[in-house]
Amino acid sequence: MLAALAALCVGCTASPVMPTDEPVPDVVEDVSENSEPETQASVPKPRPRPQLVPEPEPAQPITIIVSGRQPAYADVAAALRLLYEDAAIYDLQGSPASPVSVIRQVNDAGTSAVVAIGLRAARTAVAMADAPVVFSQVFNYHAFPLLGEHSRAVAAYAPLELQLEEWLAHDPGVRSIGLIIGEGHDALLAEARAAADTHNVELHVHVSSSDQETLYTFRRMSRDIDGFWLFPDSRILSARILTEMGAIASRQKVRIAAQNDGMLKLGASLSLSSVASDVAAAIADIIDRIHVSGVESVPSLTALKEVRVVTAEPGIVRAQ
Amino acid sequence: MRALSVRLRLLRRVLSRQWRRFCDRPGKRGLVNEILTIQLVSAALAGSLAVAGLYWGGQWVLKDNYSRWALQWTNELNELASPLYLTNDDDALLRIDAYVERYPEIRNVHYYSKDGQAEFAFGAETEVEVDQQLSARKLKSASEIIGTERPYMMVGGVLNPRRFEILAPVWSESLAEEVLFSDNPLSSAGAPNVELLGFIAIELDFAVFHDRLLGNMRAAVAVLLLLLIALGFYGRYVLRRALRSVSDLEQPIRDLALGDLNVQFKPARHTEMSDIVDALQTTVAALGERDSRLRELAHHDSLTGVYNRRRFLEVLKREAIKVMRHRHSSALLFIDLDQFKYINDACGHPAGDRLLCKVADELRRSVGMSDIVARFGGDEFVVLARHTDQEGAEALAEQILNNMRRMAHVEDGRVFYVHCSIGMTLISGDNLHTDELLHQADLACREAKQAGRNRMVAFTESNIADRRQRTDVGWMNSLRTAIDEDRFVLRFQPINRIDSGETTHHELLIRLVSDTGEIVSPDAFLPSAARFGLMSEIDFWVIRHAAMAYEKYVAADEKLSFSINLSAHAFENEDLAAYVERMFAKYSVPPERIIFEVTESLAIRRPLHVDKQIAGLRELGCQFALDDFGTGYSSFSYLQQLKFDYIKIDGTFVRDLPQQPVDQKMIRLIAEVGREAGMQTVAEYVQDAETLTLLTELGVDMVQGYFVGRPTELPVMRTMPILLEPRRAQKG
Repeated sequence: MLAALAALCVGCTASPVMPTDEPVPDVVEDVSENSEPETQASVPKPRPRPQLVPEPEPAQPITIIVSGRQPAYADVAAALRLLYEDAAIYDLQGSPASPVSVIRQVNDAGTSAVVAIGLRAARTAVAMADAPVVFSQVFNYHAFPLLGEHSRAVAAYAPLELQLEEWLAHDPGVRSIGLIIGEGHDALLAEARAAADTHNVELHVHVSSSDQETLYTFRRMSRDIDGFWLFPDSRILSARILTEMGAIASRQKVRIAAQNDGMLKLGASLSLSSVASDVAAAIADIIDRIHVSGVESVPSLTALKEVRVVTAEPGIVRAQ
Repeated sequence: MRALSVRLRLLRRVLSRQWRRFCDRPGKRGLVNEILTIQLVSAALAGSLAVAGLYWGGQWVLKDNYSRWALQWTNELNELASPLYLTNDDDALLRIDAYVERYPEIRNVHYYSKDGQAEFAFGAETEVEVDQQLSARKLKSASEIIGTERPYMMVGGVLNPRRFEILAPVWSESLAEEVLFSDNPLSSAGAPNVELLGFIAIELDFAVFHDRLLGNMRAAVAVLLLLLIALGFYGRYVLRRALRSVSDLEQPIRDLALGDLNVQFKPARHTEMSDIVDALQTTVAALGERDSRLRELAHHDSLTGVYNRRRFLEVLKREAIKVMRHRHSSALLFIDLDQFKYINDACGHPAGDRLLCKVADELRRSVGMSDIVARFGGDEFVVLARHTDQEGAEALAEQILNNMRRMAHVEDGRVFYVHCSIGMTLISGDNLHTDELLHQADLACREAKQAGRNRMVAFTESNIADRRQRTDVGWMNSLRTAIDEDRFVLRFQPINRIDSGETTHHELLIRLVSDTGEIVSPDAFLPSAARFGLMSEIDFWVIRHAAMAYEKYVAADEKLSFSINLSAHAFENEDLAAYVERMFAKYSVPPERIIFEVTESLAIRRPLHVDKQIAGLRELGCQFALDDFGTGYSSFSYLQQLKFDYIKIDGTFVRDLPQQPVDQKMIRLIAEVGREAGMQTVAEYVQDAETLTLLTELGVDMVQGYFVGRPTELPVMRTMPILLEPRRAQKG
C-alpha cells in the first residue's frame, strides 16, 4: 500500500505530479495486494463511475492532497487515480515542502477542485485552497472549521446500518452493543440508534469527554454489553486506553467492531471500514456536482454506500 | 489474717517443692530441663522470627495492596473526574460521590483545578481542613508524574501504614486523528496529546486493615505461646520418657557403687541405651569375677589355698555365735610344725613352701567336710572342728598327728619327716571369745612343744595359771624387766678334754632369776625373747657379763676360757665385732680365750653380713664352735668350708649312746671328719662313765655334761677321771 502511494507520489515535492503513461491497473492491483491484511476480507466490486448529466466539458484537472501514507488514505488516493488519471497528487507526509507551499503550488496551478484525504490535508486545503475542497477520511471534521462555503465532506465511515448488518452476520450472538464517542457526533448517534432499532439490537451510548472517561465508561459498560462499536474518535482515545479496552473486552468476552483493520491487532474482532472505491466515487460525484451546480448544490456530508469487512481469524484474541 | 498467713506459707512450700522438682537437684542442671530449655528457646526464637516475619510480610502485603488500591482508586477517580473538568457534568459529581462512598478506606477526595485551587470535595469527612491552594512545589511534582507507571505521590513522602494522603494529577490523553487510520495504531501513535485537567488529593485510611493485622498478630502470638507451653509440657513428658532408661540406671549404679554386684538393669528400649546397659552388665560381671577373685585372695592363703588368718577369725567368730545359739560344742586346734626351720634353712624357702602346701593338703584330708583348715602364719595352722566334743577333738588331733608322722617329704633326694605339735581347746557355751580361744590353743600348743613336741595337749582350766606365766605377754614383761634390772645370771659348765681330763674352758649358760627367786632355764624364755626381738640384747648382755666374769675369775685360773652361745640375732647387729672388742678391751679379755658357739643353721646360711661379723671376730683372735651339730643338716661338706675350731656334737646323739650303735658310728664319723678338718670335737650331754668311755673310743676330743660337771655359779676347774681301758664301742 505504502509502495503504491509512494509510486503515486513520485516526484511529489514542490511540483505537481503530472499524469504519466504508467498503466493504472498495475497500480491499483499493487495497492489492493499490499493493503490486504492476513485476514478474510470480503471486498465488494468497485462500483462503476456514476454517469453525471450534463457531463462537463472539458473535465477540469483536480488536485489530490494526502495527509499521509496510511492505508485508508492511500487506498482512496489510488481509487481516485483510477477516476482522475490527470490528477496531481501531493503527499504531505512524504513531501519535504510545507503544506502551505504545497497549497500555494496547487493554487498557482489553477486546479478545479482539491481533494483532501485526511485531517491534515483537509485542514490545510480548507484554510488555503482557492478551489473547492472535498475532503474525506476525517472523522472529527466538526471539531475543526472544515465545512464551509467551498468545502464538502465525505463520511469517514461506512453506513452504520450496513455495518451492523455485516457485524450481526458474523456475530449473530451480539444483542447488546455499546458505543462511546466524543461530542458533536449527533448524526452518527442518530444513524446508530436507527440501525440498532432496525436490527433489534440494544444500544448503550455514552458521550465521553476524555480517554479516562472513555475507559471508565467502557469498564462499567462492558459488563452489560456483548459488542462494542469503536469509532475512530481520537479525542477520547489514547494508546493506553485502547490497550486497556482490548484487555477488558477480552476478559469480558465483548466483541469489538472497529473502523480500521489495524484495530484487529488491538483485540477488535472485526473491522468494518469504508471501501476506498466507494469513497472515491463519492468524491467524484461531489466534484462533478460542484462543477455542474456549484458547491452550494452539494450537501455538507455525503454518506458512503458500501462497507468493507475484515474479521480476525477465529480463535485469535489480541489483548494488546 | 491467720488463715491467710497459713495459706501463704503453704503456697510457698508448694512452690518451693515444685521448684526443687524442676531443678532436679540443687546446684545441678537437669538434662531434661536443659534439652527442654534449648528446645523452647529455639522454638521461641523461631516463633518470634516467624511472628516478626509474619508482621513484616503482612505489612509488606498491606503496603503493596495499599499501593495497588491507591493506584486503582487514583486511576478510577481520574477517569471519573474528566467530565467534571471538561463538561461540568453533574452526573460526574454523583458518580464520584457514589464511588467514594463505596470504599470506606477513602476518607475524602478533593479535586483541584490546574492552578491548584480546591474545587470539589467528596467523602464522609469533607469538613476536614485541606489545603485550599496547592503549593507550587506540589503542583510541579504532581505534574511531572503524568503518564508514569505510578502516577501519584505521597503527601509528606512517607507511607504511613495506617493513614496517608496521596496527590495525583488529573489528565487526559488523545491521539492524532491519523493514528486511528493507520495499520498499527499503537506503534504509530507517537507521543500522546496530554492535557492536564487538574489535581486530585485522596486521603486514605487503612486503620481497619492495620488493626486487623495487629489483632491477627496478637492472636498468632497467643497461639504461639500456647503452643510453646504445650510443647514444653509435651517435650518434658517425651524427654522424661526417652531418658527414663538413663534414670533407670541410677539406682542400680548406686547399688553397684555400694558393692552390690547382684544389681539388675532394666532392658533399654533404645539402641544407644541398650548398648550402655550391655556395657554395664559386662562391667558388673567383670567386677563380680574380680570381686570373687579378690575375696578368694583376701580369704585364702596364697601359698596353700586354705583360709588365711583373717578369714579364719571371721569363721571362728561366727562359729562361736552358732555354738552359743545352738548350745553345741566345737574345737579349735593350733598346729605348729616341729623343726620346720631346718627344712627351710637346709633346702631353701621354696622347699619350705612346698612342705607347707603338703601339710595343708594333709590337714584338709584329715579333717571332716565341715571343718575348716587355715594357715595362721609361718608354720602354724589352725583347724576348726565343728560339732565335736572333747573326745572327738582329741581323736581328730591324734588322727592329724598320726597322718603327719606318716607323711614323708622328699627334697633334693632326702626324706624329711615333719612332726607337729597340737594345742586344742574346746569351744563351748562358756568359752566363746575368739581371742581367748586362740590364746588357749596357742598355750596348749606350746605346752605340747615343751613337752617334747609331736604330741597334742588339750587346754584345761587347771593348768591355766602356769600357762599364763608362760604367755608371750608375761615373758615379754619379765624379759624386759630382766634386761633392765640385770636379772640374768650366768652358769659355768666345764668342758674337759678326754685325754687329759682337764677342763679346757667353760660354756656360759644363761639363766633367768624369776620374781620369786627361782632360776628359770633358757628353754622357757628364749623362744619368747626371739619372738619379741630381745635376743640381740640378751646376746650382748651375755658378752658383756662374760667379759666381766673373765676379768673377775681369771685371777683364780689363768687358763680361764669361755665359750659363749650367740644367736643369729646377734649377727644382725653390725656393731657386734666392735662391741666385743670394746668389752674385751674394757675387761681385759684376751680374745683367744673366748669361743663363740653358733648354730648349724646360721653357719650354713652364712649371710654376707654374718660372714663379715665372724671375720671381724676372728681377726680379734676369737675362736668359733659349731653348736648342735648332727641335729639339722649334718652335712660334712660344710665342715670343709666352714672355719670352725670346734664341733659340738648334739646331745641327742650322746643321750642313749651305749644303746645306739648308729649314734656311735655317727659320732665316730664326726670325730674323724673334724680331725681331718683340723677341728676338735665336743660331745654334749655326757651323763655317765660308760658314755664317756665310748666317746673316748670314738675319738671325741672333749666332753661336756653332768658327768663332767654341772653348771655352777663359778667357773670351777674340774679334773675328769681318765678311763685307762676304754671299752670297744658296740657295733650294729
